[in-house]
Amino acid sequence: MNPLLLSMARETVLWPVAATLAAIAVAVLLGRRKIPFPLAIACGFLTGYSLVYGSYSFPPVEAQGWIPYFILAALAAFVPDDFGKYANATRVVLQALLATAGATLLLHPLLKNSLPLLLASIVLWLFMWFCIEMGRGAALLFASIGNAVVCATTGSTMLGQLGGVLAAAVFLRIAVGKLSHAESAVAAMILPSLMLVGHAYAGTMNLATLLIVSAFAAEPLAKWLKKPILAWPIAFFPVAIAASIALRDYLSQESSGY
Amino acid sequence: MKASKLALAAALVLFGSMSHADAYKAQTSSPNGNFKIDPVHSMVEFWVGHLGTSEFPGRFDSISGEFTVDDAHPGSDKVSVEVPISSLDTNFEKRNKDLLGPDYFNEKQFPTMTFTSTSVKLDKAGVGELTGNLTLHGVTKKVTFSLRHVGAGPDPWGGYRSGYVAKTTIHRSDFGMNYMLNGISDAIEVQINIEGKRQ
Repeated sequence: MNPLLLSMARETVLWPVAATLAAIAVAVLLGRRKIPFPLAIACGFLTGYSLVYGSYSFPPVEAQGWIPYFILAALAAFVPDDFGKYANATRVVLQALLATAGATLLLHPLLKNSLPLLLASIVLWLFMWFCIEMGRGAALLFASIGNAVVCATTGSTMLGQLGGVLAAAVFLRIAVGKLSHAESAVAAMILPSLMLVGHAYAGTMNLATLLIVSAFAAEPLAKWLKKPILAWPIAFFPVAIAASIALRDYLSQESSGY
Repeated sequence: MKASKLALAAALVLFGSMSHADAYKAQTSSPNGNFKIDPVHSMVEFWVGHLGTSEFPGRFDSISGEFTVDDAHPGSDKVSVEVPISSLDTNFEKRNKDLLGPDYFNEKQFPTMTFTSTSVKLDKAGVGELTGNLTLHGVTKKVTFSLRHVGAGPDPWGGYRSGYVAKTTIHRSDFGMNYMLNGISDAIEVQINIEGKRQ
């Protein structure tokens, strides 16, 4: 295998998977299934983030540099929810605050020209969190994979790698069981952030991004149909279309490997 | 007789072509004055290593700024340059888009690159160093260019021009551009060609 591709595979999959597995193993060994699990996706993603991008300056120089701080904020806000139980209204208010702060900080350099984008981002961000929270991970997994493909092919290789890191961590975590409230909040900070940075700064394909967001509707739809298993095929369909059109666009260019 | 005429004709042709070759000369009038950069005759070019196999060029097509030269007070010489990152061109649209995105220049967030001199040193032959602060990708670093004055003098339209070439090597990681350092070189050769019109 080409050394450059090998290095990308290590950064995007191998080490994040190892970190996610380690966090899950620690949780199992401690016998406290619920408490350390919020760290599984966070550990996996931050491991990949460190290898791929690696900036932890504060305040961050670039928009994607906020993501580690968003993860900390989500953990701080929602880990108590895993111990006790927040009222639904509390969860919505906390997530609305996180989504508003997140979208504002990510779009801050462009804010003069992107107020409608900011408002739309907050609404879609909350929608994605709501669907992640109610589902068993189908939409989150497919959307993470789809976002990685769309970012890498139509916007930014680096954001595509970070999307791949998230997909790898999510894949392992949902194989173990349903996400806790804190984990849902962590995932709901990372994925919308990557999608928004891709859209605003890397010019990822709008149609493909909207299709990925639409995949989240699979969770409430499957619940309404009272067949949770249907969330998997329903979520897969729009993501597959999004990935296909992004790949087709990529392959139609003069050279795919400049 | 015929042979000597042929030889004379050949000599004239040769002499004529030689005189054309020698017609271009640097103008050597005074470089003093306040100059506004002429974007049509100025450019920033760079060369970056690719996969350890080649060095490919890119350029920024737009540039603006001004410079001031005063032989009598060399310490007061100054240069300021502003380059819109969106004017990047590497002769391949997909690569331009990638370079302008968050992986490298992040043009949406950092739309301009600026250079402001802190010191200009030129000897009598017009060779020296240009030192100043380069702001790129939201990071400001001190950079020193080797500097050469190309020439100065009147243009055909009643103006007065002066031009310089500045070269340096920067490391993109110094400016927070750390992505894929194992595939795209950290060291980047930069050359700025500037022609100014006296104000």
